[in-house]
Order: sequence, then structure tokens, then C-alpha cells
Amino acid sequence: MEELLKLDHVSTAFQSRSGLVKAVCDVNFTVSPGQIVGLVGETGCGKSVLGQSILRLLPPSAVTSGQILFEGKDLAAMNEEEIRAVRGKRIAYINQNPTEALNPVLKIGTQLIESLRVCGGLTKKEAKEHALEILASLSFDDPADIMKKYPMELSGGMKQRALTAMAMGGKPPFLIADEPTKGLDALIRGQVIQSLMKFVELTGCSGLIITHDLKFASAMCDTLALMYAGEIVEFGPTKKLFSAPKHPYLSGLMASMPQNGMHVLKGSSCSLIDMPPGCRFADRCDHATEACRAHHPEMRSVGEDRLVRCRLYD
Amino acid sequence: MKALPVIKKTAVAILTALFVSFLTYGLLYISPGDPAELLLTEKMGSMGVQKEVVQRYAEQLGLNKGFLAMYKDWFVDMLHGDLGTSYKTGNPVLSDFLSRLGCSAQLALLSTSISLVLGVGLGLLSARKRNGVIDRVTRFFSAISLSVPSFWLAILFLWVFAMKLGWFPIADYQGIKSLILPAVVMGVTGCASLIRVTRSGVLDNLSEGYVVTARARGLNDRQVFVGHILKNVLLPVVTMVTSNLIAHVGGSVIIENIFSLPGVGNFLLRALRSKDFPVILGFVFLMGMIVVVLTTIADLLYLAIDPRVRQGMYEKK
Repeated sequence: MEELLKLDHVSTAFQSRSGLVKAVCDVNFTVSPGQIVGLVGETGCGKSVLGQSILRLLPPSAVTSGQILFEGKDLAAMNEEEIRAVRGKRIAYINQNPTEALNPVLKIGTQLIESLRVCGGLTKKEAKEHALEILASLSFDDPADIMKKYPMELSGGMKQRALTAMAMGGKPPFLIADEPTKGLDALIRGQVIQSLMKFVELTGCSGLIITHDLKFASAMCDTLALMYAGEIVEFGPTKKLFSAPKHPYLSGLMASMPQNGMHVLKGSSCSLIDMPPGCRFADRCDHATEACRAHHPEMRSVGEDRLVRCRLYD
Repeated sequence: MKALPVIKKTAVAILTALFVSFLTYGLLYISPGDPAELLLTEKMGSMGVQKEVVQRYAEQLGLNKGFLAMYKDWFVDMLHGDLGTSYKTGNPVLSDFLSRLGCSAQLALLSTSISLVLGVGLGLLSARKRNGVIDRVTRFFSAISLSVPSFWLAILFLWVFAMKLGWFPIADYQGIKSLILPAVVMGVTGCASLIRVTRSGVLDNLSEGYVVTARARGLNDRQVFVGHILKNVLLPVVTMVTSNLIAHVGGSVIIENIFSLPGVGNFLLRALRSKDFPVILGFVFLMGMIVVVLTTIADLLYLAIDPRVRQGMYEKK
């Protein structure tokens, strides 16, 4: 299968006052056309940083290394103008928290029309017509009225749909959604999942869905990449991962889900500044041995399409 | 429905104006010194002032009625455009005020414009090139401008540009030519707060989610800056400019004095020294009215700029 996005030894670090924060370490995976990959992990594991690294949206203090091949071109090596041509048009990005992602002092219509015009050289009138069509396709009852509203006049779910509409403008072949369900209540979460599914259905795009919500990930994604302390620790088809988790971290996460009895994982994630020399999960792992603590485990293949970063499967 | 916030703001402004008039009159009423006695002393020297004479004079001036009755008289006259007559110059207070307002208003507008251009301009530049040379120089400049007293700078400028170089007049008022130097002094000392507000406003907004979204949608730096950030920074800038303007409308008394300008502040200062009550009362009241009008304009500007302010007004109802 030909890949659409290929991450090759991607690492991102920030210089902070207390030291170098290695937020993303040596990430390798590919996304094929039509595939939706879920990037799952707890808060602070570096998954959002990875998402923003792909489109180079991070502040200048962040340094990314490695190759980010998209449609055969390296995004990491592009100049400012080239990467801008990718943003929005080839890769759409939906940020965390719809309330903060919209400019509070501009009308929805203004922001939507602006996105459409940036993407595809439309006149103002054409862009407006197109905007109305997109809003209607995302099941807004009165698109013309929504265009005149300010973000604060919309509910959380409506804001998310408005953001989705903006991302859809350029009919991008790839979507990155960063924690689209973070901080939303159950009802709105359902609406968000619907609007994202609609997005995928209408544009036929592939995507990277970043989330800490295992349930949401299992509903949206056919492949999962589990991230822990900056690295991918397990990768494979969603169904197989959930039916037979390999990495002790994934088993632990699944046991902590409410329907599985809410057995909380002990301990907390290691610091991204001072990393242990061995396995980063060792301190929280029941199976950890001396070898685990001494040597950093590499990704190894376990069965078809599945990779895991754990010594237990040697 | 769009008119409702405007009507509300106007109603609040009128109520404030009423309160200001009452407060000014009340404060002056309870301040020490009997105007009738002071006037007589002035006219005839301390020798001839006898109690009965003072009393008769007070009756003549209408100063022996109760407070409320006197306030009512003054208020009704005020509504007819009569703010009394200056004990000193014998002119109507209103015409004295208007003849000096031109100079003060020009000075306030000129100095606020200088502050606005310098403050917002330098603030934007320094935020865009954060920690660059321009930013460092600007921050140093704003720290200096915040700490240098305006009277000191005024004297320095007067000495260098008017006395040594002779570019500007020193004491005789020559219209706009005399206003340039004081306006620059006030503009430079007033721009520090604007620089800071603009710079920190832009920097705060840079890390907002909507800026990341805007960049992710493929907008270039200029589009993000002009189309998105600027409008969000405008609100605190309007607040600052208004307070700047208000501070200057009172006629910067000190600056007008140093440059001997025929402005409102300078005139009021002289009236205070000679206890010219109608002038003090009228001037303080009229300056209060100007402040009320300016704040109301600023409030209406907020409404125009930020939809969240409009929303807030409907919710309170």
C-alpha cells in the first residue's frame, strides 16, 4: 500500500528553563490513503505536540528533527511559503477546544469565508455560496443565520461543526484533529463524533485523530498508535489492540475504563526532561525486570501489522 | 434591539452628569471660606468688613438660602447656559471656559495622537520582533518614559528647543506653534502605558487557540496579524487612549503652567488661588461633563468592537 503520510524518526524538543523537554521521541509510522489513525495517550505524553509538529504550528522554541513525508514531500524541510500551501489545503487541522479555536470578535461567516478564499482563490460571492453549502451539509438548520453569528452565540457542538466546516473548505486529503472531544460533555461529544464522521464521509480523507479518549478512538479509527512519554509503545489495528492488548500500559489503560472496573494505573508518567535509561513505563509496570530498567526497548513486531515496545515479547 | 445598549449607555451618562453636578456643588458648598466675606475683603480691605454688611451682601448674591434651594437656582441657570459670572474678570463663566477650551482641547488631541501613534506603533513593532533589537530599545524607552516626570521633561525641552535653539516661542502664545512642544512632552510621557498594553495584548493573543487555527488554515502572518489579532487588541487600546485623553482634557495644569498656555487648567488654577467660586464651580462641572461624554463614547466604541460586550448587556437585562 502506498503511504500518504510517513513519519520517519520524528522528534520534537522544547528548550525550557528547567532543561530540554523531549516531548516527542523518534516516532515512526505511516498513514495510508483512506486510513484513520488514532494517536492515543494520556495528557502530556506529547501527542498534541506531534500533531502540531506535522504542520509546523509550534512556537519557534520547538525544534523538530526527522522526516515528515506527505505525498512524497518532506514537510519538515519546506520553507514558510511551501508549508503554508499545505496547511488548510492539503492537510486540515482542527484544534482542541472549539471555544478557543474561533476568533471571538469575528463572525462565523467572516472566518469561514476567509478560510475558503485562502484555500481556493474564490471570489467573495462564490466563497459565501460555498460556505452556505458546507454548513448545510453539516446539518445546520439555517446556514445563513449561522454566518451572521459570533462564536459566543453558538453552543459547543455548533462551534465544533463550524470549525469542521472551515477545515472542510479546501477538500483536504488529510485531517489532523487534536483532542476534538476534550472538555466536552457527553451530548456534545456525540455531536462532535458525528460531525467528524461526516467530514471523513464527505471528503473521503484520511486522518490522524489525537485523543485521550479510548472509546472515541475505537469509534473513529481503524488503526491506533499508543503514545507514552513521547514515544509510540504500541501500534496496530484498533480491533486487535482492544481484543488483545500487548503492552502493559495498554492493558492498564483498558482496565481503568469504567466498564472494566476502573482499576486506576498506579504512579505517574516520567518527566520528559530526565528520562530513565531503560523502559519509560518500567516504574509503573508489574512485569518490569532489571533488564527493562537498564536497556531501552525497541519496537518489535508481534503478529501481523502489530508493533509493540516491550521486552515481554522477545 | 440594536439601539437598546446605546439608549442604556446614554441614560447612564445623563444620570452620571446629574450626580457630578450635585457632587461638585456640594463639595464647594462645604469647603471652608465665606465667599461674601472674601469678596468684601477683596473690595474694601479688611478694615470695612462688618458682620451686617457681609450678611446684606450675601443676601444680595443669594448666598443665604438653604443648600438645596441654592443648588436648584444654580442648576436651573445652568440649564439655560448661565454658569454665573466670575468675581474676578466679571465675564460669564461659560464664555471664559469656552475661550480657553480651544487651547486645551487642541493640546489634548495633539498629545493623545502622538501617544497613540508612538504607543501602538512601537507596541506592535516590539511584539512582532519579540526580544529583537527594536523590542529591547522600545522596552527601555517605555521604562524611561514611564519614570520621567512630565514637568522635568517639559523644562528640559523648553530649555533646549525654545531657549537654546529658539525653534519655539517661550512665553507668548502663538497658537499651534506654541502647542507643539507641550504636546510632544505629554505625548512622550503618555505613550509608555500604550506601548505596554499593545505589546502584551499582541503577545497574549499570539498563544490563543484561534491564532493556531488561523495559521493552520493556511493564513500568512500578515493576515493573522491584521485580520485576527489587531481587533482583539483594540479594546484595551481604546481604554488607554480614553484615559489618556481624559487626563489631558483637565488641561494638564502643570504643563500649561510651565509653557504659560492660556488653557483651562491654567485658568482654573488662578481661580482656585483667588477663590473665584463661580469659576471653580463652573469649570470643574464642565470638565466633569467632558469626562462623562468621553467615557460614554469609549463605551459605545466597545460595543462596536466587541460582540461579547453587546451580549453582556442583553444578559444583564
